[in-house]
Amino acid sequence: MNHPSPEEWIDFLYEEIDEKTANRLKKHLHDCSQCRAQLNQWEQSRALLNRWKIEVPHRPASLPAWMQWAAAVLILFSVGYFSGKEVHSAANQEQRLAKNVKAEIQAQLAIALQAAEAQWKQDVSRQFEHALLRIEQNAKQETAAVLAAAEKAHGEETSKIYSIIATLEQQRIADLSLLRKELETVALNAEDGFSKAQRQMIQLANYQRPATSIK
Amino acid sequence: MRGLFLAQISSSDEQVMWRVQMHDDATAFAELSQRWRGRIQALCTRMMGDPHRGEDMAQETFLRLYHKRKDYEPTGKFSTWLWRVAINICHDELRRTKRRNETSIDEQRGEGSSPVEPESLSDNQPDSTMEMAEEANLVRQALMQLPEMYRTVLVLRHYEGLKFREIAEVLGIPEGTVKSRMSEALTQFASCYRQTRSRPPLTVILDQPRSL
Repeated sequence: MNHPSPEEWIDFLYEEIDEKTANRLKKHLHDCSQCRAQLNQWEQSRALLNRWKIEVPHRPASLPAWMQWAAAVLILFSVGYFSGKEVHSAANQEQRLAKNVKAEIQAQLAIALQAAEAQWKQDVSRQFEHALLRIEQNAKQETAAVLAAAEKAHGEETSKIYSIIATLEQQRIADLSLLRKELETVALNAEDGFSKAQRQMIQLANYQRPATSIK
Repeated sequence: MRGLFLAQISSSDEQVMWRVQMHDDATAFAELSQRWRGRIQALCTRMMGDPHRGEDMAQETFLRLYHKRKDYEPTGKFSTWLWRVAINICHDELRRTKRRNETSIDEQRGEGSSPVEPESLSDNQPDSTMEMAEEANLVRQALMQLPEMYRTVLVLRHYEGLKFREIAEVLGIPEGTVKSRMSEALTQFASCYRQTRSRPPLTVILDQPRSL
């Protein structure tokens, strides 16, 4: 019988093979106990090899530039670029070169660190602004969501949540009515500001309590 | 300064390496180290049979990479070059160690390896964490028994998932040779594992201090 070569079997084992060849090999396997035994042994070896696992840290998909950069610096620290850690090399020349490489990298990193910090501050303040906007937009949605969640709950919890919300609501209304009074005062004291104050008061008057269905 | 923001995860290895080579960009180099350190360390640990030596060899690899950055061929794949450097460094160290005959029985046999009844190779699945650690240790020892050229191919294909064609490029040998070495590696590994598992208690006596 003509047996496939070990190379072909290895291709088959590791699935680096086209369908046509795979089918041919499968057919041979069906008819040949010798090759079946060989493949079986190799499969056993593979299964055993899998029992020695080494954790490889998985990198997150996307980080802001400054974070990636900081992580890279940390890696270099851990790899020992900035320490006096001895590297196992044969010649002294290698070691001297290693020290020069470290000094070189260190200087460049110091400069880049300053730039990263500046960029980071910019990014953070921009993100903060966006966050504030989102909070305002979401406020109304969140109130409704809280109420919906409360409706699902039972017992004392529910009434506690309702009372907290009611207190918050009252607080807001109180704040707004205070604001209203202040605006009225301003309007009375300054005629040219009157129309503006009037507009704002109309806006306040149009303010409605978010639709609630407290049961 | 532009290098700082160009060295992002969206850039290919080759693009980042270009910056290292053309501009001595240390930040770009740090990016590459971060991307590949885990896998290179895993490779070196399996080649050296020891996590500490593996870590040393990984560090050495990146050091040499930066040192030899002008040698990088921009038309080639970065990872091929990286694997080659790592393999060569492990090879040099293994040869140096062999010559000095530093490997103690400890290192060859693994500390405290307890004798296990010779059974059919993989009929029981290890349950507990300790059993798993013991199994891993046996695999480790068996791998270290393999001749280096078989171990290299086996680690690159089985653990790091390189295609045979890639391995051929890394090692500079024909693809057919890679495959025949692989088949031989799997065969020899099985017998090394059997040997390791059925080792007599001689190791225990030699490794542990006697209480007199």
